[in-house]
Amino acid sequence: MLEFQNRFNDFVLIYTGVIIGALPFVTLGTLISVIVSHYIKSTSILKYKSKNNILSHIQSAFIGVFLPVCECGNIPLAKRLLVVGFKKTEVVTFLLAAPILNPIVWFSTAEAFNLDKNIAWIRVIAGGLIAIFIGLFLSYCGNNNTESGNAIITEKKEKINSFAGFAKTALGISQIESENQNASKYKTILNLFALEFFSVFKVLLIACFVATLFQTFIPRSLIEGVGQNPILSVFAMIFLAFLISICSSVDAFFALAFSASFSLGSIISFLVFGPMIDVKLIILLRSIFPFKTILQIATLAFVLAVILGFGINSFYKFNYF
Amino acid sequence: MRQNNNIFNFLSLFLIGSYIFYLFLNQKLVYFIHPKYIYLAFGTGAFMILTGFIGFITNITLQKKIIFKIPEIVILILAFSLIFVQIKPLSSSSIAARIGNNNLIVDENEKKELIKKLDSGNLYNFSMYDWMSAKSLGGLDIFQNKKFSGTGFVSYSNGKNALNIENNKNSFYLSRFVISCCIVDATPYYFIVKTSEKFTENSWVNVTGTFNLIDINGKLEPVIVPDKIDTTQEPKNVYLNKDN
Repeated sequence: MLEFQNRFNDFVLIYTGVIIGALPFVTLGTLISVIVSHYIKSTSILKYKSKNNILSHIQSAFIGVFLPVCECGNIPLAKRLLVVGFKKTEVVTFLLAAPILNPIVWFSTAEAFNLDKNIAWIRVIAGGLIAIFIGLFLSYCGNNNTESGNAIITEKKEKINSFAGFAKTALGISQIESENQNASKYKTILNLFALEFFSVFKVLLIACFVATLFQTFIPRSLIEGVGQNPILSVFAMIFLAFLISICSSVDAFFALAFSASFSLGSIISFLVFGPMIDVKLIILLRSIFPFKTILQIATLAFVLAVILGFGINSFYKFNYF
Repeated sequence: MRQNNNIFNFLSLFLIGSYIFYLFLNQKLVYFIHPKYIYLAFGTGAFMILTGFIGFITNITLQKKIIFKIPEIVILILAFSLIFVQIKPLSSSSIAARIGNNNLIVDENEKKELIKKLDSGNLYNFSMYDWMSAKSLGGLDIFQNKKFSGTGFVSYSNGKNALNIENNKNSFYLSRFVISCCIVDATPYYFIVKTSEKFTENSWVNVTGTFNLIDINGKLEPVIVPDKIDTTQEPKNVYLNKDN
């Protein structure tokens, strides 16, 4: 009975802890999204967006440089970017790159791996390249992936039972905006904030629940035995990154604990793959993209992270630290 | 209907913010996050209370009739009931799922600091975290016959191996979770304490004693041979981190 009480306590504690840890970022991300939607006209954002497909994906990857938020906080802004007319694949690139191409993430990685600042640079460069590659790959090879967010909304207006909450939120936002045309600016912002915040928060509750289940019941020691293997260690750390769902601004400190027993390639794979795809994010991404797109993103991210890990292990001396 | 939903959203914002505020006032935010992020969480909570309150007041005055759906009421009740859940810090039950190789990794600067402290011979200021970090300095000889004083919680399993000192009867793990950011990254570290005294699992104890190198399951480990073990209150920072 006491063991059950302790387990229950730890479950509630971890679940609440994951949510409390994500709240500042989700709040900040929603605020930025609301400010963007209210103060910056979509035409002025699109004016600076290149018409060249490759350049526009590179631009999308670099939006994260100006956003000090982690992956959960980027979801509201991603929805907003779709609404203002960004292509779906550009938003994919933004979502994958922003948690890595981000000043806070660079500093935390550099601080954690004081031993070798190159790790922070490798992470940023590799993460950015992978994100751009995935966006471009989907834009050239995917089906209907070049449609803009506006097109999605128009389509979803006809099919109200849309995938997850994206279209509903977009419709809700436009409703609020039209209803509050005569209302004061702060009231419109407040209403927009509450609506956008909860469209993410409801999904976050489910995502954190699943992440907590994995955290509580899957022992980390399962992967420890393969740390010395240059191939299996990469798979193990990617698996860990997927399960643990840790925020990109602090995951370097977590990875540091594994650096003594795991290969450099596996550590970098963890740092690159984790912010792009994990249990929590997959559920959050469902509020924007259909499952098929998420599966394509996850598969590509996985394959590229594995190649990156193998590549680094081949070039660097094994057990670098 | 959507306006009513936003009233629910504002009320929920207020409740979530209040819960964070409650945790802050009761000094329980340290159960969830690194102390350096407490004011960030508190600030977020305060912002949510304010936003929730203003949003609720301004919206409710416009409503003729407020309708809540059943799932919304359930969520509100669940959120509110969180306040009544008696939360304790991460317990020994989580050790099995989170245990690593029990070697805390420290950077070069920290190593230099540790060596300086060890060379000075003044180990009274050597914290539990310092001792855990000292394992990464290389040889375990530095532990031999060194005085130890530190606080941790009692655990009779490290999740991997049963203790093998005199059939597991005369020892416990003096354990602490170490965090860098929040509870998600909490990882347990421990020292074995050799004693015939029995303590309740998860109880907090202050141990003063001397390190001896003892063979545990075929591997030399620094084991604390205690002079004194006192049960004590849970420390202010329940999880260890670089800064405490």
